[in-house]
Amino acid sequence: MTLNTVAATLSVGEKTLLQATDLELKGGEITAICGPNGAGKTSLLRVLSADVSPTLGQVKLNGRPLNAWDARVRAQILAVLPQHSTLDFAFAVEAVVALGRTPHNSGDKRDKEIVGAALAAVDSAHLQGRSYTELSGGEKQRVHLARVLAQIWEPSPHGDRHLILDEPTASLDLAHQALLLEVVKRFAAEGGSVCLVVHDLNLAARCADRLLLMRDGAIVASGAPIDVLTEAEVKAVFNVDVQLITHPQSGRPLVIQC
Amino acid sequence: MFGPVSIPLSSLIKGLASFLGFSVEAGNEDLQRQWLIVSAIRLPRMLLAALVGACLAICGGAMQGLFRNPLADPSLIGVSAGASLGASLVIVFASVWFQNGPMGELLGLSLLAGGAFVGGSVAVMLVYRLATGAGTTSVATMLLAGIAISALAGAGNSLLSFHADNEMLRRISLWQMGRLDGANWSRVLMAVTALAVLLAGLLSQGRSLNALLLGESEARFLGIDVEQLKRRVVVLTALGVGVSVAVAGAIAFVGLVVPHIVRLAIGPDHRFLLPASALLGSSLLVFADALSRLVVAPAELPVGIVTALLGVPFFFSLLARQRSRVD
Repeated sequence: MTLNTVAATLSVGEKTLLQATDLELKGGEITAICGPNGAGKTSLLRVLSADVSPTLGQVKLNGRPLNAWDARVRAQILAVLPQHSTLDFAFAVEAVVALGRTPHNSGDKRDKEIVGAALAAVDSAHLQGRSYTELSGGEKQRVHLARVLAQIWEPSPHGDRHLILDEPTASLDLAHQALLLEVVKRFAAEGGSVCLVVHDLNLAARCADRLLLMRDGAIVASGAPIDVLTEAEVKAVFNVDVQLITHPQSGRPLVIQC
Repeated sequence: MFGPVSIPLSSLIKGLASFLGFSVEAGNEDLQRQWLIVSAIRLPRMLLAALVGACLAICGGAMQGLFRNPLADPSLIGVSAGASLGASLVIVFASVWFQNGPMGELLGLSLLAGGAFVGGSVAVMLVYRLATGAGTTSVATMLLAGIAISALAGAGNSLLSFHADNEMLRRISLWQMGRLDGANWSRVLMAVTALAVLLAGLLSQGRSLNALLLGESEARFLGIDVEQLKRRVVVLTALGVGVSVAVAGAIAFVGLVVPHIVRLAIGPDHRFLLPASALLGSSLLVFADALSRLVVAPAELPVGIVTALLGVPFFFSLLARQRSRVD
């Protein structure tokens, strides 16, 4: 089952943010989206997550139009981690993660277990009891990651689960970037689909089954990282000169700036 | 038990007993007089203080959740200002109904209440219409629109003051200070109804309001019908503040300070914040009203002045603390 767009176009006034885009996110697959600033990556995520309706075209979640779903049921299978989360209230860390259980009625006991497990999954079990407002940027990021994981922690009778992450690694250190990739891979291995926007091409190449390059509101290349990441393609999309070598262990492409 | 006329506890118990049908010291005129003071003046006044305090505090808590800002207050979106303008309009243009006999008095009071409620509702609807568009609400626009409405209502009040005679002027200024000395059982009934509607409509929304603190999009991602939630909070707050202003005038700072204290004590979770704010708000206003009657007895201060005197230093210290944490 998939989360897919059919010729989705998003315009604001005269400006087209997203041009007739077809995209399919399949269960078990990790899709990474890369592209320069203003390429339409976040617009694509917003359309995929029902944050905005596309001006033209359609988005379908597990076969049904996105806006035909009951919002609460939809939230049980589709979780979104935005770039920035604004939370100014001194919630305890586990209370923030428990917000992810809002669409469920699984009871306090089960919720507590899931919150604990989700925090442990992102190496943040030790943050329990701390006040959210006192955390560092990276710690906050991990807490929100735990929140969206808790939201779609268990398989749902409503079909495959989908996880959308907008620059999840932005404020994470190297070790936690690696941890994030592990978490994401495990989620995909359990049958969920993952779609993440990242700026680091090497990070994308390391984890993605499929890599999309976007420019000017359109997908200009799509496929396995090894096929998409070529010197010519990177030059065309980002306008930088790079060299590509093969990672000695993983065999994945490695981008080196000249 | 507190007030210009000292009533001992024993008289209170005897009065209550005879009210309940026991014949205690029948024919004691002193006792009857004391019981009248309690049942017709002090009891409704205390109840009204408790109810209005609860209404204002719970409205403040819900508003702060809606705006995702712990410094927000119903008066910020212009509800209080609109309600006082409505009340002032009634005082000035319907003044003829205030003076003619006991029946006119009652009619005037109801008119005043209606005016405050309509004023508050019109203000909040206007702000809401200004600030919403294309299916979403901009919180910043809503706050700014609230400021504009407050300024407009303030100007309207000043204008009305020019046209008012001395008696009206006194009424308007008393109204704007907020006071509880007009308490009677019909006002208590009105406040009880408003509080019941608020409790029924808001207490169930604790989880949704918590999710809304993450931001509107995030709340939507968590399956919350954000537009419906916002509509509900806006309408119920207009009702709560409108009725509070109608029965007791514009009592400031309760809606701002009480949820703050509660948040410091038990955290920001709305499932507990809203009921706890209602309890603390009613206690605070009963306490403030008792102070207002005792400080300059046998005269009394408007309770709005007391809450402002209690609230402002507290509010400044909160501001300073928040500021030092941010910097």
